[in-house]
Amino acid sequence: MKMNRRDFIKTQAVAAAAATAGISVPAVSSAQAGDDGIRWDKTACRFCGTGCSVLLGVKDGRVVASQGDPDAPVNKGLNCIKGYFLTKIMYGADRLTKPLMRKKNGKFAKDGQFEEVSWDEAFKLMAEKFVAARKAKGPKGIGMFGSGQWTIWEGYAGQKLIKAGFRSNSLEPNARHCMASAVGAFMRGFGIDEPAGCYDDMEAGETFVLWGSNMAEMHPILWSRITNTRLTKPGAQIHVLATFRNRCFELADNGIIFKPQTDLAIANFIANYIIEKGTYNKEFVEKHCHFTKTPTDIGYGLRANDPREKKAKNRAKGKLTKISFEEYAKSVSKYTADYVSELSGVPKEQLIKLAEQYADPKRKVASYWTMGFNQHTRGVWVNGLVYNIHLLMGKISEPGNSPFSLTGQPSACGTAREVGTFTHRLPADLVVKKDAHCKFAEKIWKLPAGTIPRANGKMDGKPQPDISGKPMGKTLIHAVAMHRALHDGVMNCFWVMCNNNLQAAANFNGESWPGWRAKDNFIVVSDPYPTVSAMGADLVLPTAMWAEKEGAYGNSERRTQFWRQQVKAPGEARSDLWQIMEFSKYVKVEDVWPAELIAQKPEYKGKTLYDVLFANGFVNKFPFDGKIKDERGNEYDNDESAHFGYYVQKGLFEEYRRFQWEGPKTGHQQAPFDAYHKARGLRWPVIDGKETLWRFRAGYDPIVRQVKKDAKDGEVYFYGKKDGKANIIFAPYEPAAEPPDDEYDLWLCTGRVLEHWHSGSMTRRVPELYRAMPDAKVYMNKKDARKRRLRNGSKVKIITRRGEVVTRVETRGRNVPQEGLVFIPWFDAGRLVNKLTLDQTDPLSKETDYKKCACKVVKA
Amino acid sequence: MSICSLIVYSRPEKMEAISADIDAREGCEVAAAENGKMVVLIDLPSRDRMSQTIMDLNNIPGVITVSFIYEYFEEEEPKDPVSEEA
Amino acid sequence: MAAKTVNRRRFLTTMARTACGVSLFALGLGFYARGSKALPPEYIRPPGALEEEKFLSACTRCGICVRDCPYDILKLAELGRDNAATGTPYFHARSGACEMCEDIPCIPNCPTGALDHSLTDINKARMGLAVVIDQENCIAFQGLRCEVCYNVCPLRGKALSLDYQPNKRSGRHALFIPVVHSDACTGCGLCERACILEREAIKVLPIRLAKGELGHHYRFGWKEKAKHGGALVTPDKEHHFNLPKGVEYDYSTGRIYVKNKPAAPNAPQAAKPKGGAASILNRGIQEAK
Repeated sequence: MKMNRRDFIKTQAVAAAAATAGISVPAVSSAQAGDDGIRWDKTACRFCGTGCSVLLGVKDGRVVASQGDPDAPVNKGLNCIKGYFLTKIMYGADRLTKPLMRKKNGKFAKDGQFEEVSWDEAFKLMAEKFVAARKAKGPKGIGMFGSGQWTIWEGYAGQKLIKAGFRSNSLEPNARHCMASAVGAFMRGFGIDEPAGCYDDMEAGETFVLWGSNMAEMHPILWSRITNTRLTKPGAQIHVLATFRNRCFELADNGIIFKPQTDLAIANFIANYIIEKGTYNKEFVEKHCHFTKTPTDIGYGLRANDPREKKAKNRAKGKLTKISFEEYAKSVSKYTADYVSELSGVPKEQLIKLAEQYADPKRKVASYWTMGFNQHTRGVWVNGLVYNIHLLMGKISEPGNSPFSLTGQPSACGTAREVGTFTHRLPADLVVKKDAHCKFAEKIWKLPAGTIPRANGKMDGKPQPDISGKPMGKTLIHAVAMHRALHDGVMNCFWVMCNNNLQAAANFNGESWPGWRAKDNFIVVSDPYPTVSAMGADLVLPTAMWAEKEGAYGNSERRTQFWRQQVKAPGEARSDLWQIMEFSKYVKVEDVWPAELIAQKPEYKGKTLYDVLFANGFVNKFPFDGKIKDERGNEYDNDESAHFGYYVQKGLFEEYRRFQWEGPKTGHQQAPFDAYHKARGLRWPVIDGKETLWRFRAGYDPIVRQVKKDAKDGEVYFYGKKDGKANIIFAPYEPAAEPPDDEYDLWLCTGRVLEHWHSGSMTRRVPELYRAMPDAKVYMNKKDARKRRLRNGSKVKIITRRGEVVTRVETRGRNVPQEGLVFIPWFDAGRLVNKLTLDQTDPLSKETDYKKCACKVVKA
Repeated sequence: MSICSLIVYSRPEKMEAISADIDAREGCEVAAAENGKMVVLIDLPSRDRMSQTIMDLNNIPGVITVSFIYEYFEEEEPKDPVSEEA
Repeated sequence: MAAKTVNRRRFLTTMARTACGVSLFALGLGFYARGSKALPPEYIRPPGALEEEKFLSACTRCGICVRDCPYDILKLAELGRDNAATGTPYFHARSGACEMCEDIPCIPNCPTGALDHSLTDINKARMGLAVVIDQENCIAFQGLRCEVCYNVCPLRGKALSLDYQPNKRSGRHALFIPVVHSDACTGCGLCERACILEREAIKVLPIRLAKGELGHHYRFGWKEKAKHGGALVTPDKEHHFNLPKGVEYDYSTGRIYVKNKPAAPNAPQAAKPKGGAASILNRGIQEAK
């Protein structure tokens, strides 16, 4: 170590001098390339949806160094501080290394203490519990809660296990809390998921509008790109809309603070402004759009007995009705500058300044949004309202003109959305609502027809037989409903993997905690660390994380990135993929499938789910010879392949790819497995080895001519819809579910900070990041503090109708809320912010609104 | 440990001889040389000796000038940041 | 940390009180003389501390300020260990920085005014000055997105601001360079404590070490103009230029603008220029046909 460190310093010293003198030193580059015994390889960052590439340096089986990947187009060698400390997330002192089961007197007991057990004992109990619950309670008796941080194949394997193996649609990712609203809007508007544009819009654009996205902190490297464009491109502008002043405002040409929920009105105002000015793109709208409206007064996704739900006229309705352009124009005409300014608290001039950017046909505008839009009880609506603006102007699908929903997780796109690990989805935009889609999946997966539960429990109009002996009934169940089902005893077994849902889900006291700890429920948590979720579990499975396994992520711009296993996991920690596949060996087909179904494929009699799902002749057909090799001759482990005896990741990915290339929905095509190990990520659809930067426009997107042969270069065709036309969807402003009142007199908004990622289970274990941002404070406007006789640093209690949290007040922090609103980040396991939040969702997307509920703040 | 790098400038025709001279000195190494410019690395246990050595280089006949580029100085070996964590 | 510091602090304050200032003085005079040479630069005096020499003669080493610090960051220098005048209060920003309490509780009970009672606005304290001392290792200078020092600064934007610069190396990102402003920095040290490097790249230094001084004859023109609210001399006249038809010249930026140029073909319905951006950006999509 000593010599290497010295050599490294020497190398640096020589490099510095050589650079200054302008002479090349061959010895320097070779020393950096690995004379120090470090093996370098690429990985994708473990954190946000930006998808930075990171080079990892491994020596003696340990990650000893890292660097931003200078050849990655996303980040060009840069990282944020979370990325800077990436290597430390695997080496926290409290890594879990053994399965832990709650036990009393040597036997599993719900009220027992955690004891170390073998994987075999863990899986045996799990299988017993899951099979029993599946038999007794039907498809909703069990559930799995996965992640937008799952690798692509982990999501795919999880989906096969739950949907095909257990014949249940109770599979959800934490991405439901994150971008389900964005998906809903993509499907309604375009009939196909994920953005038309890509990050290159950040250089091509002229005006950038952030709607409910604190990009400066949450997508630091992307903010760095937009900042550069703002600095270097004459006339470039940044407009920021938020409910509190955040770091983005420092560079904003137009920083807009609006009252919560009035973003709906602001977006409609812009549409109205465009129509009144007459600058909308008539030709584009006629050729490429339909005008529609969505049912209103749809409730707030609360429990059915809530008075707000009883009052709602069209609870959870979303069927679109076609309207004329004139009807649309009339609907938005109510949203005048005066009305919206009054409603939103935004000065008229600011509204107009923003609207002018969109309304100018010559101006290239890119809109970005994140949780401010998605975690919204009208999330699908508000996403759609921004598409409306872009579609009216035809500002879409070309460089610089880009409505773009950013994701928060590294593979919310790649895994949750593309693989479709949602209750209603199957890979590549297929849905369980459609018989034909299910049948296609059953064909690829070599399963008897009718294995996958349909949304309504019926195939070809007939009820699907079930192991429970009862009709399947409606099978869809979304994330928030899962916690309610656990609380109500409808669901009894729950496997949480690769996320921290007990800390993340809303209404901890009212729903999550009582459900997890109810005596008949069996909760399994797979996690590398003892998180809040692990604490609430009955069985904790130690997980191999990130670079301890071969992985693949898909970022916000449709870029798929692979990495090889770099190091071994500590102790008996195993990857999520291994856990899913190994567990499937403990369940027999007869345990979960009715006889009628097995009769269709007698060869499956007596087989395990593993035999049927993974050793199916396709997944296991790619050989593995003990080591993975790269082009430079380096060797890597692959613990899953070594265990199962074939190249597991390749088999799963290649089978998954059949959905993209042979399935009924086109447009999601990815390149062959091996291509991704060579490239710094590829943006799909990848056709003939070529990536797609802008979708839906002939010339840029090869799919257009697959669907519409005569399309000319530059012609737009939204092929996700049968007639190639996107939907402009009118939706009005409607108030939030729980606005402040006399008693609970403040809006409570929750969110994140630059230093920590989500629940902090990784970043809080990095001492430097912990020191930089140790505890969650509540950000408050000085005037609000003064009114309550509080000042910076005062200890306070935040109280809502559901719970309370003690913390300190921050009045001079980086976030400055408007009067009447407080902001608190939720990363702090010591202050469970979700004791406060309301389990309200967008009734259409079922995504939780964490941004708006009523609270009061008093001196503690 | 005390490590530094310098650029030593000389007349191009004298470079070879000077380079050999420097290489022969304790703790000194010519890492690269081109057109009268030499990148010199010095690795000596103490800063005093280092500054003396730099002065000596300056005085070699034919050396035009010496520019100091990079210095690393450390009293004791720091702990490996990664392993400290585990 | 709490238990240990509190005990030591209690011990010292109790000792100070029972022994009374006088006897302690008599006892320790020799040590003080030796220890008071200079405060090591990494030690910072509490807010309102008089200039070091005056402070040392005024401070009775009573420890009351240490007792009154609600965050327990103030310490009393220990004999032979801390290298500062024994018994005098200080803090070390890297291990515990001043939280800048609005009511400055460490000052009012100072019996001698070694901590200046007239300081009532903590933002006016000048304990030291933060300096971004290592620009080679500060990751912000390399374009990484950190800005932790900026984020934790209680006077963010005033004492510590970010200077945005294009990242020439990457060509598509920006640098967010932290810049300290001595007219607002109180020297609280929160930036130094929070710096995420192994060894901090931003440090609070005594002002005497941290600050340069401009030649007394020279002023920065643009700053004087801003201070004055306009040109100090007669404002410049309007300029006119010989220009080809349709060309405009912006005198202040030196940029030429061509008017009446046909609009760029960026309207969505407009035909793409032949070949054009698509052929470059979609990696040879034209050859495919």
